[in-house]
Amino acid sequence: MKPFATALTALAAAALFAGCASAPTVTPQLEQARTTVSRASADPAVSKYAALELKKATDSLRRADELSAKREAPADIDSAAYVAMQQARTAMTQAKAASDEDAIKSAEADRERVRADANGAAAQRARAQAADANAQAANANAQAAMASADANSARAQAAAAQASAAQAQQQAAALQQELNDLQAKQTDRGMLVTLGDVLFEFGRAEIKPGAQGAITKLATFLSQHPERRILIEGFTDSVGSDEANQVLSERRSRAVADALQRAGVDASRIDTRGYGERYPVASNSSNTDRAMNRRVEVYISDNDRPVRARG
Amino acid sequence: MKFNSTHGQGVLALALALALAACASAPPPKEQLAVANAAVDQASSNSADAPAELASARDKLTRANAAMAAKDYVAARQLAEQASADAALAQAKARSARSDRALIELRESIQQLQAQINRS
Repeated sequence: MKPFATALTALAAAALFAGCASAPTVTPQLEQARTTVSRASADPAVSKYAALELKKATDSLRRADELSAKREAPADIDSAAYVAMQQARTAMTQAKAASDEDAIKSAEADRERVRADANGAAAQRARAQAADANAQAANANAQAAMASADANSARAQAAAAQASAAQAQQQAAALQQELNDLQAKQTDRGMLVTLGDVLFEFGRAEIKPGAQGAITKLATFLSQHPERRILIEGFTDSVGSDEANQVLSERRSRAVADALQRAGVDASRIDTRGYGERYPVASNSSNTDRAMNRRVEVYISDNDRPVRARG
Repeated sequence: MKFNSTHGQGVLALALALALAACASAPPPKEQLAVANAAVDQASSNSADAPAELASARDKLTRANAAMAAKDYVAARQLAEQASADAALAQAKARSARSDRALIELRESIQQLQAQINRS
């Protein structure tokens, strides 16, 4: 046991000696490995993405350092150092690749966003075009509606025109009826309406209240035909003096003119004449014939000219 | 040298013991060679982008096999370890080159897309 104990003591002493007093063997390769490994350790991307490879590198470097401390053969130290250096490089390269891959993912997301934006813009354009088309359609509809309204309006106007034409015809027919009522007769001087002596009291020029209907019909006709003019002629029978009959005939024609003016006929449209007992229409030899001669004749012009006077 | 001469014999004995231990503790590095083989195989299939590292890895693997055949197990183990480290670096470099290219292409395609949008 003793020689072994001696040897053990010697070994311990040698180890102690080697550790304390002997400088470790440091090769350029080891220096380079240390530099590379410490660069990898300082890189946050390496600890994030390549922690496993970095641990391999630091383990390998520790082994190289141990060999160096033990002053092993430089070739052994170099080999371990080389491995540590390559592993550190691998760690840094892996970290670079992994961060690039992260960047790729985010760039892909960017591209999707850009693409979505592009699609959105295209959709936006399509929507705008659709809205345009809708607006045009609405416009066309509005125009169609307006055209339809115009057509309706034209139809309504045509209907109104027809209605007023019908009304005019009706009025014309009514007037014709009124003239018939007045027993108008067409003559070469115009339309003649004879108002018999029943309108007047004997020897007087005042129109009887019962004659007002005939006056009103005449006035209405004249107001419907404002361009027409009238000539009122008064006549008597042969009873009495010529002067008295002349004056009476003038007063009677004047009385009819006044009544027409009261009924709204403008004085400028009316002319009056008195012819006394001249121009009899019957013989004056009987009461019936004389009654026919006592009359007022009203001539209505066919146009806007005054009625031509007799003789 | 502060070393006591009475210990000279002991030191000699230690050196001898260490030398013997070295011999005895250097079994054939079969495992390291297998690891190196696999690493170089894999790098050969995917690391054409890192030709220098790949060539170095192959060369060291060849030499490791030769050392193994010559029963120089220490050298065989060191070369196998270096070949593995070189192959790993080759793979990392090839991967980084790929991601680098992909990133550049992606950024270009985004720019083109953006330009296309700005035109329309």
